[in-house]
Amino acid sequence: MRPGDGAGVRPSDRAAAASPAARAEHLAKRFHVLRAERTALRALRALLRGESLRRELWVLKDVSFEIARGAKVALVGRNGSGKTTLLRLLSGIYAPTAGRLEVADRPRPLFSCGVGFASELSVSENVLLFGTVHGIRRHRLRERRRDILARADLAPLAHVPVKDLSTGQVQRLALAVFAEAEAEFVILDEVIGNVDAGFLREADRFFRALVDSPRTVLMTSHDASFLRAYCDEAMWIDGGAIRLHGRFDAVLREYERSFGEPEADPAARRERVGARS
Amino acid sequence: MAIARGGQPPAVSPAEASLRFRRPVARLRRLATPENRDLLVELVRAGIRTADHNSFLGALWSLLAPFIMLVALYLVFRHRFAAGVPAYPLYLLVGISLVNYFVTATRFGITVLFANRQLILDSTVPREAVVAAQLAVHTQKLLMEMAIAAAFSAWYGLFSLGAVLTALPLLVAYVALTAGIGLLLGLVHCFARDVEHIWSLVSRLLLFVTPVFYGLSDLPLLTRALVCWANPLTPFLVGIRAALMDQPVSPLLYGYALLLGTGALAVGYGVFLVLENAAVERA
Repeated sequence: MRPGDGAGVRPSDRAAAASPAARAEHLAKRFHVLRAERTALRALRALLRGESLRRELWVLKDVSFEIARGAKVALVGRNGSGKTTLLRLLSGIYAPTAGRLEVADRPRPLFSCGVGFASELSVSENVLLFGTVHGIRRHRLRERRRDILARADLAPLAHVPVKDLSTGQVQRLALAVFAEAEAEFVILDEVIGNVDAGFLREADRFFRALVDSPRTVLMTSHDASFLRAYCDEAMWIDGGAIRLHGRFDAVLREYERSFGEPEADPAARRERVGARS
Repeated sequence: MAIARGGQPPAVSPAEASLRFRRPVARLRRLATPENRDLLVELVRAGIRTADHNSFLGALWSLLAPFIMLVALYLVFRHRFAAGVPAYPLYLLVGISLVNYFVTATRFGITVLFANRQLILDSTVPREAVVAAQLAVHTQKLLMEMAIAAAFSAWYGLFSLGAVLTALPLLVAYVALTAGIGLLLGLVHCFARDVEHIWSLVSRLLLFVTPVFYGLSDLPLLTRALVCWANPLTPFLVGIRAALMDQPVSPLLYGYALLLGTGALAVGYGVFLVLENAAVERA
């Protein structure tokens, strides 16, 4: 199977589907990380000795892939393997250090369910704030606010400040608002961390609608069963490079088998996790 | 099954893709899309709503502070500096409001990228929108204070609509100056946290090295030239104050102020476009 072979693409979309939703060629991303905590004394010492206070860290080294329009792709990999960095590059949040990246449709990412809320403001006000942060028009949010709150099961708490909600409730609110976003390319990074089984059933409608739509979806999660339910294709990222890309089951089998193997570069991974957290 | 290439850091040239991050016109056009205009409105609303949240007097605090300072400065300096000034309280109010705005907005500007790091890294919100929203919250307070100053001016019988309209470009340029300097400080802060402490010291001095409670004519010639031409706030203070007190403004000073404002914003935004990625990654 070629990556994302027409999954969920309607015949009328075939012309558009001819060009990929995203294509990366030798994509690389470098960060500069500090060798030690920066202080004036250390900076002075480094200056006098001609040393550098920072060093390069290549989080993505040579990443090449193509995602077809309408594909539903799971991005898997261990913590610190470069998943979030790759998603941020695709979303246009980071600039690549080297390589080429083409993204046909502007992706709409959801990285963190807590970002985009003002904790002091009410749930109702935050529907507008979080929604506009994710590119949804205000008039649409105003029209749909009641439905959004009902979907998140937060209608009775509409006037409560968001800071008084539980993590799971905030996550439910985030997903309920994000479901209103209209985008051809949706990126979801670990968005089902703290929700209860009841909301997962409710969220299933959102994810099912995504899968059945011609939208391109790229998602990460450490819950393989969740990814299996919605993705038919997977990319396994390891040590800042794509190790496997193809049919979901085949990639997942290899990925899960790798837990018995030593990592490609465990020291670099630890540093990446530390640097990005 | 496709096996993608992996391996060493690439030997290919820096990505052309990164260039799209530095195209100011395209970026500003993106900022003007209906989605981003909605976003800006919501960010400003949230900023205003949370600024004085949970305080007993709410938004009144923002107005109370300059008035308390006005009373204090008036009581201390009225005998020394008020003699040649027709409406000394108005003179003080304009000076305090403008300097306070610059100090407060730039202090918040220093931490804007740092404080909003997660929002910037975890959403596609234009970074300019985050900065602009922060500035707009303070600008709204400045406009309220300027409206009160205009009311003072009318009460003293000094209000002239023509003069006030002439001062509007100065006010816009002043906001631009604050935005430009705030952006530069915010970028530097991502690389060296010390800038916050240094700016806190420098900004305290601004009240004294800017003609807030004294007039330029009270200063010796050399000091006057320094305060007038080396302190970027002075031309704005002199120009806006003159407009509200129906006094003539020197065209040279007016032009200099406009140049300072647009120049600071152009330089600040230019440096922002070059350094923003590195700054946000280090914030």
